Amino acid sequence: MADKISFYGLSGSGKSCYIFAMSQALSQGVPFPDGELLTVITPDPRQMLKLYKAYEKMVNGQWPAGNVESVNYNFNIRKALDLLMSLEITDFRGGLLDSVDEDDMDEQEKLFNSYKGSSVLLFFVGADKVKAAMNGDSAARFNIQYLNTLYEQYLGLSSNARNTPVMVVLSKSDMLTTNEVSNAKNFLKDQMAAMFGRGTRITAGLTAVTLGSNLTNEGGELEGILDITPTAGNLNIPILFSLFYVMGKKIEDTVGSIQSNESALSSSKRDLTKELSRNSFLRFFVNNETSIRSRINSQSTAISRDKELLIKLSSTMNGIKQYLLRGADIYINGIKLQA
Amino acid sequence: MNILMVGHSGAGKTSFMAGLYKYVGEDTEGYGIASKKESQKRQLSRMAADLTKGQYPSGTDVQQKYEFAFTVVGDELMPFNWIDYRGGILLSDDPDESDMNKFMKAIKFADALVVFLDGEKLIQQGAKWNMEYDILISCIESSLTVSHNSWFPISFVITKCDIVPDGAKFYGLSRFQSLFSQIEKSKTVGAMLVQCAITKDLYHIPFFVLAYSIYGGTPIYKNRCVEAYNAAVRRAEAHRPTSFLGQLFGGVEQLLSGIASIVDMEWETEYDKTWAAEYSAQKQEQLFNQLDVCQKELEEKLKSWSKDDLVTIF
Repeated sequence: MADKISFYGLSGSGKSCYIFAMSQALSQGVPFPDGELLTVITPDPRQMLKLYKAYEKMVNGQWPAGNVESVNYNFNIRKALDLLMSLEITDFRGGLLDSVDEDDMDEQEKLFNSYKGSSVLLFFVGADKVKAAMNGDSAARFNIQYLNTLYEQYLGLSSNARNTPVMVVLSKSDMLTTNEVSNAKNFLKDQMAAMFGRGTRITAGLTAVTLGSNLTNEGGELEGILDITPTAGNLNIPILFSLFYVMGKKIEDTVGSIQSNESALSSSKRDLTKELSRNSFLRFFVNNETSIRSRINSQSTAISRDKELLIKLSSTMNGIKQYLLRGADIYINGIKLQA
Repeated sequence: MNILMVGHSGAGKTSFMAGLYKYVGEDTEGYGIASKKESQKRQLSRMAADLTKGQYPSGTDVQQKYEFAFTVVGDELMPFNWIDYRGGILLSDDPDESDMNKFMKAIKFADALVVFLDGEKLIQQGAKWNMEYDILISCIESSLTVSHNSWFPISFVITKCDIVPDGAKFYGLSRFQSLFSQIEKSKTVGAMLVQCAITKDLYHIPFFVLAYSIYGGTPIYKNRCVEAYNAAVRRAEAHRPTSFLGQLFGGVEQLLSGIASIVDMEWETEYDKTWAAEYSAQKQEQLFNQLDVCQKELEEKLKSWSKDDLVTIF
């Protein structure tokens, strides 16, 4: 079953454009230190057509229009063609998050319910909004605080909620100078205390992404320089952040499976010793040796398969870690991890 | 085994099919394909005959599933389906839902993929055809989503090479470069790249693709043989009387069944069941050996084609 990543953000926060650009950039592969590529590709040709057309629109100097309805995208993440994770990304339509329209209530409830089944939550905040909030625009500040409030509500929904990692994505970061990006990140961290505060017991990431440089939107016209490549503008970071935690879970499961198979193997070996020590006359009538040996073989195969998987997962996680530490600030329980 | 052709409209899938049937229809190299359906046989023969006159078949309007058997010196070795579908479906903004679902299902059940790349487009520089290439990559991704029982072969066929200028560079292949490099490192997926031309005099290249796909699919049939063999051996073991008393009763039963047959009464004894299962196991063993020999021969052929630069194998 696919792991679900939910993208939240107010209208115009750049969620959809991020998905269009990311799908293009990451389909060509993120290089890893071991020489292998990690790709993110939709296995649905219809979705590929839609995603490509939106990307092509950007290349041709037009910003794609926001979603009029929420869309689900499926992606497969592979490394050297081994499937690491199937991903379902829900892109809720812009404006739904803070809508007070009665007609939107059902869909809005779906949006809030989507929190529960998500492996990772990503909150998108546009750099323009953050800049305005930092400059005293109270509406913009309210918008950002609203995301924090939503997250607090989510924490109240389930006791398990704190185990779900969350990332805040400062989108359109090319609108800010390097210094401003740093200030904007600090601002977001302060405003979103439910995620980044001390003692929250939450793993939270903060990254700044961009689709290029000097990008502007004048009545839908895209101007500036698009740079949509796998590692440019941190396009890979939100996906790698999600993958890191899903793979972490997979490692735990694999370790569990190795332990349980090892204990079963020990028990099978004991059974074999017992069987071989039985009276040969009795064994002539009922002989369990073959079945025990085949059990031992299948358990040993499963253990070596899991161990191989574990090595692969660990090496991939190490590669992801390098990217994350370079491209994001990761906070655990409010304390920033140092590179 | 299902071999699925994937490519955009006009890429040359149906002409490839005609060329394939014409070449293997001539029972070249001891290998052939036998069409299981009379109507398909007629259709393919007509297409092959038209090709001889220099006429190309028109594209596929609806998805077609050709039911074939791969033959070795005239003997049917393994059945397979060759699936051709309407190329236009991939780029349609509003594809027929039922056609699309059929296509997606075919992708999921494919045991080998043949991806068609239009040579005329590949030699063009720029990003004009990237959308088409990305959709093909998405189709490949979709086929890899399913876990296969065997190693998964993908043939990339660059078509229309007879009209591509000599020495022209296939720029469009750069879009597939990351996929190729991943395939090179993969233990479960393999790929072959071949430049193909289908004309009235030149139609042997599809055989390379057939050989590669069948080579990739052979383990599926070998596994089935092993399973059937093991089941037959288990059956034989279950029926074979082993103890002294069992053998005694078995002998008596055999004697009684002999008497019963005199009065036209059918009586399948434990020994009969054992021998039938043993015979079935023997048959499976023979088939396994034939498949093994065929797989090795095809492997040798592929190696020699690769050595002669007729194909590139990743």
